[in-house]
Amino acid sequence: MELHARRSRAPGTGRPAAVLRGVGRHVPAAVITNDDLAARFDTSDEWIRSRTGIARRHVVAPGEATSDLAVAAGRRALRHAGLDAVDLVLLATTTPDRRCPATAPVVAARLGLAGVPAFDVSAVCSGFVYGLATAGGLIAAGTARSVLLIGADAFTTIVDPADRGASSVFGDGAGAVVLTAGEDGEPGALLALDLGSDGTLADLITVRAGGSAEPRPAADRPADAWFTMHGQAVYRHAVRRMTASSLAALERAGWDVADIDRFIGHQANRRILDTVGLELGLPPARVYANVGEVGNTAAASIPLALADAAADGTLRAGNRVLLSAFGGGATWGSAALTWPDLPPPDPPPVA
Amino acid sequence: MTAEQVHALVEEFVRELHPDVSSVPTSADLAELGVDSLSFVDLLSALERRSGVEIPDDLLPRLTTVRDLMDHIASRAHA
Repeated sequence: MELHARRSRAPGTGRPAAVLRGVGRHVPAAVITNDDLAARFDTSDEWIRSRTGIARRHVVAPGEATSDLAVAAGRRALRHAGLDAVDLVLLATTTPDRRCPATAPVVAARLGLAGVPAFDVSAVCSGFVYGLATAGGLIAAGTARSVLLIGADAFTTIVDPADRGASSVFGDGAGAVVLTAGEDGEPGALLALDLGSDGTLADLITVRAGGSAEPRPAADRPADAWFTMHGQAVYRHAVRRMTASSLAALERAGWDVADIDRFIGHQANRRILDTVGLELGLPPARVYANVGEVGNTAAASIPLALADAAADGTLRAGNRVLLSAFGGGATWGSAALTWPDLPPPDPPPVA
Repeated sequence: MTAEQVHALVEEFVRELHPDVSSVPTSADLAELGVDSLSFVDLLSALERRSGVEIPDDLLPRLTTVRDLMDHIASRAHA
């Protein structure tokens, strides 16, 4: 059940490495603050902050879809990379515009890239790391010389509006990176990956109905229409798996924990990030968090954090960066790379 | 790990979270002691590490008091 991706290019294989060339991000305009939530639910700003570290989240307006977020972030990443086009588009998402077909082709077409291969990657909150592995493999195999990888989710469209916990945690957004074929070991090259899954934990994070097993919610189970999450179990599995996966990726990269300049984990909640940092023995200042401003944006969270960290000066050329995620499936994954020398991206949003 | 050692560890954990807590009786409900749901998971991790006893996910909702933790761990710990 566990899969371990190898280095994107073993030294001397002659295969191209996937090199990060640009980042982009987008969040919808509408903001929900903790006070807004306190007006709807029995909760408070202090209660939400102390448990999640989240102050606000952006949410889609009616009719605004995942593709809208993805196109905006993808366009910015292309511009940041100085490219008009790529060979292939990948979209990591759990909230596609429609159940069928995938959303990536629509996104590619709206970016003026109709004709290129485009498909969705489904690994919930680990989707972006799985997408990095997919992009790295496609570039190493010569299938594509350049890939636009977008993580985008409109999770608030699958959360029960009456669910206080999930409404407090999730926000909508998109982040994107451009990867192109380059030299092994050059700054920005994917150095190491670790991926895994455990389907015995499928019930941990789920929307039960809407798939082939239960096409419509059973009459006596209306809640099956909505997203559900077992928070305590998710927290403990997330900490264990992100910690172990981080160590596995570090080992493959030939790095020690002390070598990590920036740890950019899936922004599920501040507590998970802090605890994983503690378990790894990382100084707190090296654990990056933007979850307070955007909430948990699922597959978008790591690329959104990368874009924000690049824009606010946290990420600098030469920084050794470790990414790690845990998500529904259960799935998890980590990736190591050295941050490349990029022009400053679009400024981060106004809080 | 004995029941008393579990109690001592829980007491230490609660005092670290809330230094003003005066006592941690075995009958106390963890939520009432100010141990929120994620801190409870942190406490379980600490107990698992120290005792070597694994606490399965499905048991979590049934462990609500200090006594529940003492009973579960002390009855399964080797030493």
